Amino acid sequence: MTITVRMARFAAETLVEPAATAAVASLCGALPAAGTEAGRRPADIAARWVACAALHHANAGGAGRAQAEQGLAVGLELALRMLHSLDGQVVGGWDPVCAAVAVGAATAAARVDGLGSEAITRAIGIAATQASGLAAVSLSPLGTFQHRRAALNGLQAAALARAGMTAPGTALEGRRGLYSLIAPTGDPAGAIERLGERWLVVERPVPPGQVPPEGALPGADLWSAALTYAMEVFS
Amino acid sequence: MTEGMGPAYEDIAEAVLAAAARPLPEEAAAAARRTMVNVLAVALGASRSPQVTRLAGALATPSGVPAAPGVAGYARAADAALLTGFAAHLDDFDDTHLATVIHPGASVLGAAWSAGWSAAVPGKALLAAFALGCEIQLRLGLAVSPEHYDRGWHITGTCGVIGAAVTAGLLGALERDRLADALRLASLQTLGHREAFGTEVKPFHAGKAAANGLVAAEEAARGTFTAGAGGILPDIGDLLRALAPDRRQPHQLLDGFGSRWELAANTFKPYPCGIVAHPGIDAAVQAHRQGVDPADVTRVRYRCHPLVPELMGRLDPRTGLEARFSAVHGVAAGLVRGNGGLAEFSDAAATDPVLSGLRSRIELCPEEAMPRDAATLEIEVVDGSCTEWPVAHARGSLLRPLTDQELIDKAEALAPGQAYSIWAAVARLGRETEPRTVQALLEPARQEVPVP
Repeated sequence: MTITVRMARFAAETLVEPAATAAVASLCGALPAAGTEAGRRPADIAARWVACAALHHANAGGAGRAQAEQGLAVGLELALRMLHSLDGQVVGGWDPVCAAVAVGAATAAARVDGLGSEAITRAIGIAATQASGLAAVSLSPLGTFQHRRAALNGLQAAALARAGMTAPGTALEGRRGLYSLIAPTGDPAGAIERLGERWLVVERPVPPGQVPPEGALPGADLWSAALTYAMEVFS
Repeated sequence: MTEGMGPAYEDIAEAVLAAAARPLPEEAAAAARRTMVNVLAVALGASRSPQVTRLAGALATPSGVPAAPGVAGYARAADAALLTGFAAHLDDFDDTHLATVIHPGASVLGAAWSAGWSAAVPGKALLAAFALGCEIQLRLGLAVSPEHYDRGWHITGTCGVIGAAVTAGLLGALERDRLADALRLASLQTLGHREAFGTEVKPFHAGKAAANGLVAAEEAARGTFTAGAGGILPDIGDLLRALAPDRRQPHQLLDGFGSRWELAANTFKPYPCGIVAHPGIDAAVQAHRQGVDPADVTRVRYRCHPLVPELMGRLDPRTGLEARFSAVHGVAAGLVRGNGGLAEFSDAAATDPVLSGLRSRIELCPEEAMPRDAATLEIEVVDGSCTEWPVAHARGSLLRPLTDQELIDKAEALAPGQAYSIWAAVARLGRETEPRTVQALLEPARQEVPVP
C-alpha cells in the first residue's frame, strides 16, 4: 500500500477519537478570534485554513456538526503530519503550509462527503499537485492569499475526485511527487508513522488568545459563529 | 551559473505593456495565429470526450461564461478557463516549444476564453494578449530550464500560470502596477507535478494554470491582498529559485523582449502523444507505407533519444490516456495502421490485441547521441532479415514544421466543418479594431475563406 493510499484510507475509514473531536471542536470555537497570518506558527496557520475549509464545505453541503468535526479531525491530522514531516526539508523556498492545507482541506471535505479511500486517494493526488506558494511571503497578506487559495484548491480537489477525475496513487511519495519536488530529503513515510494511534490534533498547543472556556466545548452560538466566519473567509 | 535574482515584477509588466502597445511583428503574429487555431481545434476535438463532459458537469452553473469551446452551458469564469485549458491539453495533441517542452497554447487560451468574454477588446488586442501570454511563459521556462522539468515539474502548469495572468491582465486592461501584482499573485499559484502524467491531472495542470492566472488578474484589480506587496515580493527571483534551486538564467525573461519571439519557435503536434515519440511514429508510418507487414515482424529495436523512455516509457498501456505516454504503442500503431491519430490513441486502440502483441516485440534503445527529433527503427521479420527506418527530423519539428494547410487539415479532422472558418476568423484578428471574443471566432464564417 502506498503512503498516499494509506493516508486516504485513514481519511475514509478511521474512527476519530473523542479527544481529537474535542480538540477540533475547540479549534472551531476559537476560529473567529484566530486572526491573520502575522506572527503565527505554521501549524496554527494550517489549522485555521483547514478548519475554515472543512466548516465551509460542511455548511454549504448541509452536513451536520458531527460530520464537520470528523472531517476536520482527519483532514487536520494529515495536514499537521505533512507539515511535521516537511519541516526543515523544503528546498527552493516553497511554503509547506500551502501543501499541508491543500491536502488537509481535500481530505476533510472528502470525509465530510463520505468518499471512499479510492476516491480520496485521487483527491489527494489532485490537491498535492497544486502545492505551491512561497515561504518568503507566508506571514504577509500575500501569505493569506496563497493559504486561502490552497484551501480552496483542496475543496475543489475533493469535488473533482467525487466527479471521477483520475489522479496518481503516488502523488506524495512518487519519484516526481510532492515530497520529491519540494522536499527531496524529506521522508513521506514520517507522515504516516503511528497514524491512527497518535493524534497530533490533540497534541497541538492552543495558541495564545485561542484558549476556549475552561473544559467546555463550543456551544451552539460559538459553532454558528465559526460557520459564519468560515463562510465569510471564502466569500 | 545562476545570475542575480530576477527582474522586478514592475519591469516585467512594463515590458509586456510596451509590447502590447505596438503592432505585433509579422513573425510573432503568424505564430500566434497558428498557435490559436491549433489549440482551439484541439479543444473542440476533445469537447465531447467523456473526461471533458464529466468535468463540465462538475463545474456547470446556470449562467456565467460559456463553458468551453464546443461545450454547451455555462460556468464561473475561473471554471470556464479551467475547462477550456483542460480540453485543450487533454489529448496531448496541442503544441510544444521544444527548448522548454512547454505546451503554451492551452493555459493562455483558457485565460483568453474567460477574461476576453466580458472585456471584448479589439481583435488585434486579443491576439496580442494571447501572444504575450505565450511569450512570457516560454521565457520563464527558458529561465529555469532544464533543471525545472528535469526535477519533475510539469512546466506547462508552473509557467502557464504566469502566461495566463499576462493574458488575463492585458484583457482586463490592468495598468503597470496592477499587472505587476497579478504576476506576484500568479507566482504564488503555480502547479504541476509530473507524477500525474498518464492521468487526467496532467491536462488539469493546463486548465488550472489558466484559472489561476485569471484569478491573479482579478484579485490584482481588486487589490484585496496586494497592498504593500511590492515591498514583500519585489522581484521574480523567489519564484525562479523555487522552480530551479540550483541553476537559472533570469536574463532570459526580458532580453530582447518584444523583438525576439520565442513563440515563433512553437511547434504543432501531428500525433496526440508526447512529442519525443513522434520521430518513431514517423518511421513506423513510413515502414507501413513501404509494405512492412506487422504480422511478419519478430522484433523492433527502437533507437531513440533518452527522453523517450523517461517520458513515454509505458510498455503496456490499458487506456487511451496511458497510450499517450507509450512510445512503443505509438510505433505499433504506426506499423499496423499507418497512422497516429486520435483513433490510434483511444481506449479501444490501447486494448487492441494486435497492437498489444506488437508492442511486446518493440524494444526501446535510448542513445545519448540521438537528437530529440530523430529516431531509427530496426525491424526484423520472420525470414531473419532486418531493415532500418531512420527519421532525421520528425514531422512538426522545428526543421520540418507543419504547413498552414497541414494545420488546417489537422483542425478539420478535429472539428469537421469548422477549420476553414476558424482559420479565416483568426486571420482577421490582427486587423480588427472592433470588439472580439474567442467565442466569436467559433461562429460560422461570414465572408469568403482565404486558402493558405
